[in-house]
Amino acid sequence: GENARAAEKVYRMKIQSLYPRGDLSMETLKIFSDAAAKYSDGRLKIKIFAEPEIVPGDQLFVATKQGVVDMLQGMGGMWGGMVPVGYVEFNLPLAFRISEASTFKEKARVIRDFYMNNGFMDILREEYAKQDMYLLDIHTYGPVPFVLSTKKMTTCEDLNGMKIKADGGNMAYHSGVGMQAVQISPSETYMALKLGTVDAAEWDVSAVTGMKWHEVAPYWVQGMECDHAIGHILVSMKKWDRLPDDVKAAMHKAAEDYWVATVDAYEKEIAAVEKLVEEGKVKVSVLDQECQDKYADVAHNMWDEMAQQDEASSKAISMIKKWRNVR
Amino acid sequence: MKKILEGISWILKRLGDICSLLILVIMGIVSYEVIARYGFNSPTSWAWLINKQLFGVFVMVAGGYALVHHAHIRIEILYQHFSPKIKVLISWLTFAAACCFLGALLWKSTSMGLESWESREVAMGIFKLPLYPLKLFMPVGTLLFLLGCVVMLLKKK
Amino acid sequence: MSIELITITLFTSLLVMLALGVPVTFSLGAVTIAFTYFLEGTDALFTVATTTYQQITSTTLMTIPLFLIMGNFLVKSGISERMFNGLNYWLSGVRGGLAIVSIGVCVALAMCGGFGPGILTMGLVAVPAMLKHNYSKNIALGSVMAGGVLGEIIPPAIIMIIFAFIGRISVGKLFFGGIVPGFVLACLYVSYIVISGIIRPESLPKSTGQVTWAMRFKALQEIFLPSMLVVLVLGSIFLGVATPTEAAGIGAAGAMVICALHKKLTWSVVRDSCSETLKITGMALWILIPATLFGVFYSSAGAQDMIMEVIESLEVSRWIVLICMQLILMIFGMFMDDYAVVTICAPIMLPIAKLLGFDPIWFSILFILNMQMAYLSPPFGWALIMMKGVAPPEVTTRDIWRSVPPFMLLQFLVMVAVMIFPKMATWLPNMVF
Ligand code: NA
Ligand code: NA
Repeated sequence: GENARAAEKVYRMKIQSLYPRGDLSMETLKIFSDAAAKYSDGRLKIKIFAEPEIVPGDQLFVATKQGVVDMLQGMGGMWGGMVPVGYVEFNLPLAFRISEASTFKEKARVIRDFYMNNGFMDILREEYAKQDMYLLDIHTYGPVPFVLSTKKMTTCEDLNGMKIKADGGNMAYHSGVGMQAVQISPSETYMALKLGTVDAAEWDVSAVTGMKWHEVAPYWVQGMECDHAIGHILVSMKKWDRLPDDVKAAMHKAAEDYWVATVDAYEKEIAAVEKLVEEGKVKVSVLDQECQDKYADVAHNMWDEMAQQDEASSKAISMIKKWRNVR
Repeated sequence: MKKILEGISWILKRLGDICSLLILVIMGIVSYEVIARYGFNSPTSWAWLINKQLFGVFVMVAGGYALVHHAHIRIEILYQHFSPKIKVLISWLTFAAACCFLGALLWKSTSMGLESWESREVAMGIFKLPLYPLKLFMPVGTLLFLLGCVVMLLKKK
Repeated sequence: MSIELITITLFTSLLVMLALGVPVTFSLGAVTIAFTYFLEGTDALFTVATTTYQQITSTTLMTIPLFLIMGNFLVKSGISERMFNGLNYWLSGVRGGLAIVSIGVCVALAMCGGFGPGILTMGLVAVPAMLKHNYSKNIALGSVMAGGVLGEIIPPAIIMIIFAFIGRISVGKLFFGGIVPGFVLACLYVSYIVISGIIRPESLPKSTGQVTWAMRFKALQEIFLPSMLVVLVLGSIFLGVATPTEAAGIGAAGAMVICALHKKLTWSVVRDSCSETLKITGMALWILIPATLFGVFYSSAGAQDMIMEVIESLEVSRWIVLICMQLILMIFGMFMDDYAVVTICAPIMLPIAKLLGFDPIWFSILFILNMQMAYLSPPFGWALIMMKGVAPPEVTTRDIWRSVPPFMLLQFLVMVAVMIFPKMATWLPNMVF
């Protein structure tokens, strides 16, 4: 009767990514969709769309709530204006810089354990639930901010007064050490670097592998980045609640596969950049300890500021402080 | 009735005249940002954010303004040969089409506006500009645009 | 409903609405809303709000009113009329001189962004001047529209950046790939104007009155300041002072300053310029909003799957596949905004082209050349619509449509030439990088 029908029912869902076709997410989301179909015995069919095929990126959150798509792949920093703890979740400066592990994969493991095993995820889930969204799982974007510059920069003196294209909270981060943060759309950045409108720009690793900014700004400035920036899949709570438990479990399992897929994919991206470094097309420029410390001071001040946002942010940040042994 | 129609036209035109000056504000802010960045090495964090909101208001007002000034384009290759009777029919069709499009926009932008208002949505980043005023203005501008369509229809008859 | 059936009914209903003379914005809007509602339900209608919000807060689109206010300041103050009279003195010996100058200015403006700057400013400023000097409408309108869309092939152009990202190829290489075809096109347009002048002198009259060198030199001061605007806009980009988007704002401010220097910055000039800018922006943006929505519906209905199937079903030579792709683009280009076509087609066609062993830079340039025709191809052509918005009222849609065939033919020929001689697109980028 009822159960048998529920067991036969096929659930068709639409997911849109925050990123356009050409971004890695289009490859990795296929893995998610295939895994969901596999684990649910074909009862879960997830169709993938890229930005801006159904909704523009900055509207993805509200559009998912309204039921235009059933779920989204994106990152908390983007919805921080509505869910402030999203800033903490995505890329709190230096919070996810893991010195105790060495490889890309090990660092990812440490971060995932922190999210999943300490109640950190529960804080986030609670906040997204207030917006009728279910936080399904997380994934990585590799190191962020990924900074490329037109000149070699190793000290804070070098950075002082340099114009950097930066986004969101990172504007304050770079300004803190004396850079001038500029808002420029990613599509104009290549030209802006080429013509000297800005001296540096930040993004994730696709700044090199996707947008080829290194052709005009070959210096890869390191020392202020998190090893992993964290993204997420959010499901409209209305749609999530309608799913039977076994389908929910299948989706969770698929989302874990997705995490693994993104770790693998971004590891490959970094390897591709390393290869360019060997060929001399990208030049590594590590900041000296003094400048790294200065960045750390700025970051920790930003943590304290962000903790003021709301109760969830405050809880999340004190949890991170304990984990990272900060004050 | 006629007074109401004229009143709506008058509002659309005056509101447009005033809001049309926003483009000078946008121009000024862009110039300020460029000079501040290039001349004084101190770029702003607010220039583009504010400009986007101003541009939003500009466009929302522009729809109705273009309408009452007959600036919305139609392909008149066949239309110009139609008899006045058929032209009246077309103006009804136009009205129906406008209601369909703008009605949907009015409905959905209202829920978007309310949602933004409920979460007091602000811009991401360091300059936390409230985003709900523009989102709340969207249905207002759409409604004015739609009222403009009523005026144009009744004038035609 | 299958996607094939959706495609046919969707395009047909749009065609009928446009043909009946329903304003373009409402035709596009109503057709899209109706299809979205009946095929995807009320929740999906929310896309109308998200798409509108995105368009009205887009920094790229903000350049439309900025370039319009720049042009309008020159027009409403009478400066542009005097400038073109002066130019006509200098070019009195050359048939079609003003049209050639317009192409030249369009090429310069092409270097500050997409197709908008050329058509918007030259449509406002140069078209009335050419008509006043009795140029044929075909040349006056066609040269500005064709010149304006050069903005998409002469770098920089947003469309190239989209391709670069999708294809994971270098933006720099793509930029350089557009230069040769772009300048070849510009030269062909100029040649066409010169040849028309020879074949049909009445379409491009020489100026009649006696022109002395004294008059010419006196006219220089009318020409000098406005032409500095082009220098200001381009200079601010290439000296790294401003991004192309910001340069539009700098240009607008420059036009205002020029009005002041000519002592023409009166309240009525300011008011009329702003009012005209608001009207045309309203016209343009309220077409762009439903046009984007149209693309959103079409891709969420499965347009990409359909194209994929069509292409995969072709078990023929890769050249036939290539030509079929170009045909699909031409058909889409008649009904859709270029941005919608790119969003839908580029992500599937570019990987296929790569798979077939075609050079991705070459393929992207071909695609963009095809989109140039889309701007000019009726019934839905962006350049046609923008021109109707900025041209003097006596210019009808029919006049505009009639002016495009020769220029579209040249675009088509260059596209075929690039197809046959890939070096036209790949030689320069490979040499530079
Ligand atoms: Na261009
Ligand atoms: Na077209």
